[in-house]
Amino acid sequence: MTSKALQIAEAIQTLFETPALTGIGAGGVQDDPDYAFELRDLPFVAVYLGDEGEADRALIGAHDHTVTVKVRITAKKGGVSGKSALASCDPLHVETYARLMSAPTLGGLALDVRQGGIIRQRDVLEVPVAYTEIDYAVDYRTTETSLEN
Amino acid sequence: MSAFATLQQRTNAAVMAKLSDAATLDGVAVVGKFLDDSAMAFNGIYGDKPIFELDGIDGVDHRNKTLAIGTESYIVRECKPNNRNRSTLLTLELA
Repeated sequence: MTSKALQIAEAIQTLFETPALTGIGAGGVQDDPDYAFELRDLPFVAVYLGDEGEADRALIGAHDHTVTVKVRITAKKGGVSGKSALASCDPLHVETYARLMSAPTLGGLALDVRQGGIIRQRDVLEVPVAYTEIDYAVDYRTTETSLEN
Repeated sequence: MSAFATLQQRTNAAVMAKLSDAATLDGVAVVGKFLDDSAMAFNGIYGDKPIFELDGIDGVDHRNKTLAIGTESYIVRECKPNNRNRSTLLTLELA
């Protein structure tokens, strides 16, 4: 049993895995940003579920939901030659956005996808590292009796 | 110099000779200890926090100089007195 919200997050992850994003190695797209990577693995992309608001009864027998799916892109300084860590996140932000917006229904799972807020954070290891985390609001519909379809 | 101070100086020199790491700062040999503790960023990215503890205080701003140690080169990003002015901490970034 898998909720439609998780199906959506997994569909987005698959969308980013194949074909491989530019500069992303094997396993460079994961479902969780925590404890998954070492500095040499960067850049990477993590796709995971965020919050979800109250469902709306748009039709009799159906519920409309909006789930936040978080896409975190982490990179290190020089990931893009001569650029800062934050700037090195930018090409993957552009590429993942384009890929998601070219398939906004995710094969029929979603009604619509739009970009929400963005958080940018920086830190320092032996080189500076940074991430850009994008909230995507994904609208989807389920029957009133199941979260799966 | 008192007998104690002389002994302290000799002891320190002996310890540094034994424990220090060979390094150069902009091509000039320096004496100090390389520390490369493991660190983590963002609750999940593993890496290191390289620091070179330069023996003594020379009053020079070493920022942006290149510290070479072994096969690695680092850029000095921060330079500050340490250990009650007995050493200088150089915070490093992998070049």
